[in-house]
Amino acid sequence: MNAGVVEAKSLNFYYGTFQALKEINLDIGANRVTALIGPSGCGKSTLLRVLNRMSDLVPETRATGLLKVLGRDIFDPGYDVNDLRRKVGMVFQHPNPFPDSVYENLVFGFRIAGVRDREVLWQAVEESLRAVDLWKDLADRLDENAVGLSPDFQQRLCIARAIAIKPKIILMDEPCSSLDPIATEKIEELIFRLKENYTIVIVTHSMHQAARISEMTGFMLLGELIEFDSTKKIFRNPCEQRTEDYITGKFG
Amino acid sequence: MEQEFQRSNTFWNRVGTRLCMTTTYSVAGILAAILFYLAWKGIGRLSIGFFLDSPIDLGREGGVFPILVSTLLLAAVALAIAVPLGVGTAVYLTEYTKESWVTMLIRFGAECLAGIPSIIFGLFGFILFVVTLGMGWSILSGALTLACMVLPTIIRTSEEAIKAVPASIRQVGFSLGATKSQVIWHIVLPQSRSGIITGIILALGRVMGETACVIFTTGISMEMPSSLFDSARSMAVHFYILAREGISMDMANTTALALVFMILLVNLGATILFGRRYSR
Repeated sequence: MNAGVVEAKSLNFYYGTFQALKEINLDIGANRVTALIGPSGCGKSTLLRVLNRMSDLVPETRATGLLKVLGRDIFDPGYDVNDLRRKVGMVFQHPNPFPDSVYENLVFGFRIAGVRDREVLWQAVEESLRAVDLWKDLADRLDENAVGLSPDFQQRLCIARAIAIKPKIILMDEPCSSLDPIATEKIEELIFRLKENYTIVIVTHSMHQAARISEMTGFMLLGELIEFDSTKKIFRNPCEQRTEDYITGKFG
Repeated sequence: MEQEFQRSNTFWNRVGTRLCMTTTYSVAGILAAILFYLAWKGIGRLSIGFFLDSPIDLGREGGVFPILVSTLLLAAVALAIAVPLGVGTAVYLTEYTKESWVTMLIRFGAECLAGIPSIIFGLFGFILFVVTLGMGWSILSGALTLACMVLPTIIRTSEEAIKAVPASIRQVGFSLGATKSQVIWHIVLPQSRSGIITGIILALGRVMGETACVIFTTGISMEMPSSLFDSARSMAVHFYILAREGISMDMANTTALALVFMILLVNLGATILFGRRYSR
């Protein structure tokens, strides 16, 4: 059940000559929520983006070490990065639906895969909207432009869009940072439910959020993964002084 | 002191508003004056027959049907050549290249091309397409020359429209497993479509209203063209010949009025067809 779906060994990552990740060793289990916390610029978003190689989009970057996702070395030159991204979905900091209909947002992954069967598309739309609790609200508004939805709905739609193509892992890069507390609560509830079917890795600035929703937490500082353990342990009895200092608000 | 500042701010604010208003209404007024003048001079000979009959006696009588068809054909073929080339170049420049001296050179070249007088394009088209490539005075020669002429407009407007697509939207495409070409085809082009269409409409206006380069390359035949290799006459050229050679000022004015309305109609059609759906 909790077999490692992400396994990093001595992972280093560079933007040009700047080393953003240093000797990361990590083992993320399946069907869990893993939170990455740390001060700004510590490399947590970089680590997240390396997991589905979205980091490739930044020019002049390189990675060394081993990173296995779903049992395969993702830096293997023969590995299909688009296939990786279909298996490792991503939700971004700000809700970013396409300025198109709700329906088109949800079927985008299928369109690019060449799926034309309307029944398959409708089924995916319904399933993904139900998974994020939007079916009741949006079933009659599928033609509406997604940009006109409330931020909470937009972010949930983005999650639905990511899970429509049935990934195994969902990466979330501060998904609640632009939402109000009520919307944040809804997204957190959603994350809690989604872990039954997906492995979730979330980057968050909010330690409370990490404590609320994750089972495992990694604390990062200046590109290093200082401590990676169960969330309870990290927040109650961390091994590292730097973790404790950050958790107790001495810096950050 | 504070009151004085406020008074001064209010005064300049008012001046600025009035100035902008005056310039806007002046421009609208000039356009209205031209349209009014054309309507006043040209409406007398305007009838259904004018659009559906062939010209008689060098255009003194009859209508402009073959000329109308030739104009639309010329514009359609020119855009069919220029749009894929222009949009393709814009996609390449914005999506596939880093800013370097090569891209700067291409951009500089395109800008220089935009500033070249159309008669020079006409001469170029005449030498290359009409004479050297042996196409003769034909719709194809004219369309190719017009395509060269409007390419810079299409490239620049498309480039700006493509650049305006937010990077965050592209990232989503990649995160869902799309390849670069899929991101361009499924996200970037649909999102920039209204801007690209604006460029195409501008180009269309230039193509339909062009005279100098069409005379050199398409010829002045008033016959109905049976293929792209036939010589033909565009509405603008017809107007020029009717007026320049003193054949009939009345018919020249009616032709001008018809041409202006044709351009307005085509622009309106293009905006309704493509613009509204995508301009979000």
